Amino acid sequence: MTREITYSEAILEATTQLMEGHPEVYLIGEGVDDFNGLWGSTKGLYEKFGDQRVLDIPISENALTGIAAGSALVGFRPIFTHQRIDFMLMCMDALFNNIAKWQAMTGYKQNMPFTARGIVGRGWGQSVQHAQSFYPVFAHFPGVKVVAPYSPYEAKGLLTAAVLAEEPVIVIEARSLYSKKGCVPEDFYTLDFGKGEILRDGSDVTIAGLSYILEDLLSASDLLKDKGISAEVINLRSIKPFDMDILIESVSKTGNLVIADITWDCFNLASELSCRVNEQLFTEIKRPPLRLTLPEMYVGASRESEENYYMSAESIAKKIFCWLDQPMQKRQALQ
Amino acid sequence: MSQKKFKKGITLMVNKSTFLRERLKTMLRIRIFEEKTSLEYPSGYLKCPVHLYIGQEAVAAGICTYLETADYVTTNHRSHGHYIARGGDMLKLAAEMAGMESGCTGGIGGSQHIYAPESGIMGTSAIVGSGISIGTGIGLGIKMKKQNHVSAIFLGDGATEEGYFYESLNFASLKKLPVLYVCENNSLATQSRIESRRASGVDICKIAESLGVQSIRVDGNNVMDVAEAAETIIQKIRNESCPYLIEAVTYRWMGHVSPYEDYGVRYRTQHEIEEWKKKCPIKKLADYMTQSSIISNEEYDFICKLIKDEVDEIFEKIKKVEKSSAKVSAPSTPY
Ligand SMILES: Cc1ncc(C[n+]2csc(CCOP(=O)(O)OP(=O)(O)O)c2C)c(N)n1
Ligand SMILES: [Mg+2]
Repeated sequence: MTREITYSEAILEATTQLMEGHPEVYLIGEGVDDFNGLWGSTKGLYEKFGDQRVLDIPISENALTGIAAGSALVGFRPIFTHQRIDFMLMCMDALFNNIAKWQAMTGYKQNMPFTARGIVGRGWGQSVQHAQSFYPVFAHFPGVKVVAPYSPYEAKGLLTAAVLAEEPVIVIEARSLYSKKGCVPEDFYTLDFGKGEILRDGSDVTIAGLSYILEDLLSASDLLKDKGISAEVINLRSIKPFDMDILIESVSKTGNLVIADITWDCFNLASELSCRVNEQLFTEIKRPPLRLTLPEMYVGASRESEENYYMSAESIAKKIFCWLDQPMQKRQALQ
Repeated sequence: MSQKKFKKGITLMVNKSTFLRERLKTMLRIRIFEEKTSLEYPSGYLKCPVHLYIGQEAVAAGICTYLETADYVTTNHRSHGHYIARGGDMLKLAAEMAGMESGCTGGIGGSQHIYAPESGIMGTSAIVGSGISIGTGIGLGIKMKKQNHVSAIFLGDGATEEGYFYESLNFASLKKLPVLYVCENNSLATQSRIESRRASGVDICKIAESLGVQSIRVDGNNVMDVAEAAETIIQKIRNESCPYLIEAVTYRWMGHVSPYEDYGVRYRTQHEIEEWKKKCPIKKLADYMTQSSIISNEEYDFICKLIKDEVDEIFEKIKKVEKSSAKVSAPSTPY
């Protein structure tokens, strides 16, 4: 049966079902046993499963990440939560010199089932250090999967898939999506890595994005529709592996690609995928892809600085409209 | 050696002599294997950096005596001694150094990334200090499964300067994890002496104690001292599930990452090396055994010859196979 629940309830449901069905799954992280349960996403788990499976930790993110990995080597499947993704920079060594490489360092004979949940805390004056979404840093490393659920349905299915995977997976959650509702099956299920989803069909331009920016992209596509532009909106969902097929198919049809990102301008998914689409559809695309990213600076706490920093549906629609308005020559095939 | 030192069954001369013979053989295996490594290195078929253990053999040999097969060992960049003392197959180690698929890590790891789950070595990181967290996590896993295994971690004096050390010991102490930290204090970390890394008077055992981890300092060049401490402590860890630290004071004879000696370098004098060579752990035990008529000079020579033949044969095999080419390829991760 499917019913409407919130993003955080979906995470909670996935975790509960995993812990009920798999004794080797446990939850570890700062405040996982809090009464408010990481904004509801771990609420009641401590009461239900006790302190042996819901482990609050000292403020030692790096070693504890290594410790969770050690437990994975003897059969456990830790879910390591970070109230804020920002603290994950404390565990770069454990995550990427060790966990990401453990399979390689054992000649691909040893699995490393390790899930990290990092919550992006954008908004409400979070300011410089508490509103980042630096997933590209993670996605750079071979041996790690990175996903960014947008809907509650994905939040449940991708977390479940992450925890059951035999290799490390990092789940990028958005705090601003936590209270958003969506249809979620009650049953246990997983979603595939490396698969995007078309949220809205269109024929003039492909607009791809991930995580919280998709809300703005959907609204922007409404605004564009009013101007007679039919936009296809794609939820990339899985950062690594990414879904090239869905992009190629869509851009082959529309000839125009916009990618909206949730992080700074350089070295991100928008750059990576626009480059790859450019390589594959060199002669088909009508104009160089448009990348919509955050400015190369840190956001301030004030309302005004947040407004200047983040994109809105209006600013996105405007940029896309102007970009499409410029006449472009189709490129010629290289002889 | 006093009777007090060897209680529980090994006070009987026949058992004691078997016991000491086994320790002697383990140390000789490590020594002869590494001397051969050094000798063969110029031929070029051992194609990875090596950190030799020569001079420190008593630590691995003494500690591993009281570990059971089902116990776990976490080693580091200086892994050969720990691997061999755990009964690891020397052929697979040599093959690993030669980058062959038959190596313990499938030829992908080299000397620094030993994988031998049958010996409880679940993978090895060469990032200084990180193994401390991995081994601590194995301890957490043991505790969560309510097993009575022990997780032993070998770490250098340099590794105690990493945050991993403090964070991991704090957690192990907090959760009463069955972890044995074996700090091999050779007073050196690469070409850096401990005096240039720690204020004088800073005491590794006291650091452990201040984190709630009991500790003891032993002569790391005396296998009987190490074994005596290990026996009591490992028993205690198994019975009470609590962490413990043994600081074994010892010395490395060869260059830091080099198959050769490094006489004439700035960080240590030839005199210092010579003084430590006088305290050779193997000589110390062999002298004791011959003086107490546990072993004759002839038998000692015979044991050396047997091991030498075994080691020579191993390297001959590797050389042959290596010539007929060994290909190893790591699977690439999809994106
Ligand atoms: C995090 C990190 N920093 C530096 C190094 C380079 N390095 C390799 S071994 C080593 C010395 C380690 O000293 P110690 O822990 O005392 O072990 P030992 O080599 O004496 O056995 C260093 C600094 C490293 N591998 N990892
Ligand atoms: Mg050292």
